[in-house]
Amino acid sequence: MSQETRKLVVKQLMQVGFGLAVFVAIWQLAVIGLGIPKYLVPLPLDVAKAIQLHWLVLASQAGFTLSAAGLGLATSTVLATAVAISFSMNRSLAQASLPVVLVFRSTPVAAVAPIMMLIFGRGISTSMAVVTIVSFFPILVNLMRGLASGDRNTAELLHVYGASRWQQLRLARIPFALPYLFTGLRVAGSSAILGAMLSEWITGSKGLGNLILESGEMRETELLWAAVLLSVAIALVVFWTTSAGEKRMLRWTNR
Amino acid sequence: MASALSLSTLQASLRPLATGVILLAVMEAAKRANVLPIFVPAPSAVLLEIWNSPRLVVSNLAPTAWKAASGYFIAAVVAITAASLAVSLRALRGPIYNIGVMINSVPIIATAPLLALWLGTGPQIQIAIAALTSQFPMLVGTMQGLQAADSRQRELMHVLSASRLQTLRYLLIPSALPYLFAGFKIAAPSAVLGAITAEWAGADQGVGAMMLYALFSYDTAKVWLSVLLTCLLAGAGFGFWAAIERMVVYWRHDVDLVD
Amino acid sequence: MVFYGQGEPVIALEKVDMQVPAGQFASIIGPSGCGKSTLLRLVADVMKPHAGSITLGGDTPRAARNAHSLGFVFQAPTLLPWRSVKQNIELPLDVVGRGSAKRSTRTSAELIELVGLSGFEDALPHQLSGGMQQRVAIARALILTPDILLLDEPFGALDEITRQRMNLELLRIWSESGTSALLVTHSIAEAVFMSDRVYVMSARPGRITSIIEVPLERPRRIDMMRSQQFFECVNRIRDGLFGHEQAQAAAPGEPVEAY
Repeated sequence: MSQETRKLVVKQLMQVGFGLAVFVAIWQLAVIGLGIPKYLVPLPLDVAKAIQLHWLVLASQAGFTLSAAGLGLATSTVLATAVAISFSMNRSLAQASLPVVLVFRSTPVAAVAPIMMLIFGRGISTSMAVVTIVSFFPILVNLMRGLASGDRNTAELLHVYGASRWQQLRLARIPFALPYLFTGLRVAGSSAILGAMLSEWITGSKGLGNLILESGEMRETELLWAAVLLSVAIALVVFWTTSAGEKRMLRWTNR
Repeated sequence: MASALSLSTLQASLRPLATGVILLAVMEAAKRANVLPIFVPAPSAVLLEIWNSPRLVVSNLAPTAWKAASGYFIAAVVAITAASLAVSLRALRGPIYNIGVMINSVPIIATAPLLALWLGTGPQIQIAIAALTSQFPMLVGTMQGLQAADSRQRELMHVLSASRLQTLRYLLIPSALPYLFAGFKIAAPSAVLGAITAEWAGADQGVGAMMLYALFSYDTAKVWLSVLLTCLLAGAGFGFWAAIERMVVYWRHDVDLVD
Repeated sequence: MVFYGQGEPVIALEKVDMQVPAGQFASIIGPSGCGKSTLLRLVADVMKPHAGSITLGGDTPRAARNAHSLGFVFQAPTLLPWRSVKQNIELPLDVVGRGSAKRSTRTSAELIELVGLSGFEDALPHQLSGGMQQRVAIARALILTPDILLLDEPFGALDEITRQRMNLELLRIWSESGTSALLVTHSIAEAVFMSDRVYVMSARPGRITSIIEVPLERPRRIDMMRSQQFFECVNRIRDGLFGHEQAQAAAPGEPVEAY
């Protein structure tokens, strides 16, 4: 990592650390100051203890959720890329499929999850399928925009050199489309995590979402809070990494 | 002019409607020919479900509908009040907007179990979550709307010696309407989806509960029915506001809310 | 008149001394930034002068505005997009209150005919061209039969052809209404064609450098623009505008370029 990147990362980490400290402080003060009973809002320290006690459970459940989300995202990226490229090669296919894409663009998890469960049953594959579908369309839409954005002059240049359509794709359009891919990943990333957790609610399969539900039912407040905080933290980390990736990609464009 | 408008709307919706009917007919034929996989039911089976037990449909649709509506209404009141405050007092503008953003970003995953702890099980959880998921578009829409009148129009009111109340009535409120409707239109499906998802965390009545029950008993037709009801309910909320918007905001058809 | 912004205070207008006789048509012409729009707004009580006074037939601008004896036409038509042509024209009536008409008023129907928009009473602004919208704005300014009509580059956004046509229209409307008029423009031809008297301003600080009387007879016709008198007036105004700059810029002894 270059010197300036390192400084930037340190600075951001410090900001995050400071924000966390403030958050914990307010939390502690609020609970004690407002006299909130422990079964409603536990003290930060108790939650920390719960994390320490149950770290294995938390980590393993988080692992399930993350793998479902990650695999789902990977699948949808591959699918979306294939579809986007074929759309860009074949204009009429794109136009015919456009209405379908538009209709399904904002498929809510609530509609997709039960259907997926019918198909895939109760396992982790349902979560994966839900994530794939929910993140497919944002990535596709962004990729299509990216492939269409290729620089006119570059395309003409390659054409003059006698490049085949595939070469044009590889040398020019795909690099131009990469930033858009990362935008799509950013949009899809956080909803992927949430989609995976919501699927776990409905299927009862292992994962952080299920842990949250169960600890809620068992009234294990500290564990519940620990799981919730962990899920929020994971969502934030996913958002930051995809945003950072996007910004990195954007550095060499003038968008 | 009103009749011409509805005629063209009818014509515009005819094509997708026809496509939908054809699609259903094809599905029906495919199922009869045993071509479709097991998890896709025949459309007739779904319709049969409704026919056999209309009461079931209604007794699940109704609770979800009123829970979503209550949450939506609460969110509307809070959003409008907060937005009005934000627009009148410059110091509050940033904080109120940011609170809206934060509430919007906290996922249902986190809020539902915590609310279950705090409020106890019952419809109040779904109402609360419907409110939380639908507040943001209404907040943004109202804030944008109240600031929509441009400086030249305000100058016009000044030149005409209009009182503050008159400026509100003749300028500020009409110019806010397109944005208000845009926000409220988007918020409606959010409230419905929030309520249904919240029902997954524990509810004994409602479309989400029906969905869970159908899933556990592997009742394919009922699952698809519940998905259908979800989409219908969300679409109805949106369509309701869109229809009113068509009538009230007759001078514009292109409002985009800026996030 | 001083504007305080970032940095040095900008003196917009200094030592402006104007007297416009009643019933006359006067123009103010000057380069951008000379303060002519500011001057107009001071007359309309949109801004307050730091020093000096303005009287309109014995009243202060504020009193005149409250008594609705001013009509203002902006650079942009500034019609309310949700009101029809008729309703836009009647906006001042709504503000004043129809029951207690403070002044004798024309009907909107008369005005619509006067500005040549018969048949468009129920049209919405977005259905009208720029010139037509501006005519609605003029009718709106006239509905309370003001004593003074203030116009801020009303035809600046229109093309030359439409502009000349609108000038003729405005003169016709003005002569039939009997008000005094004060027009701000940056077109020399327009200033001469429309007015009885032209005030030439210079910038930074804004002040009146010359007053030119236009002796052309009324009603004005387009062919008057070919007359010797017209040409002389235009030249004198041009000298007033550019000659002043030339005199400032040229060092003594150096030749001055003629345009």
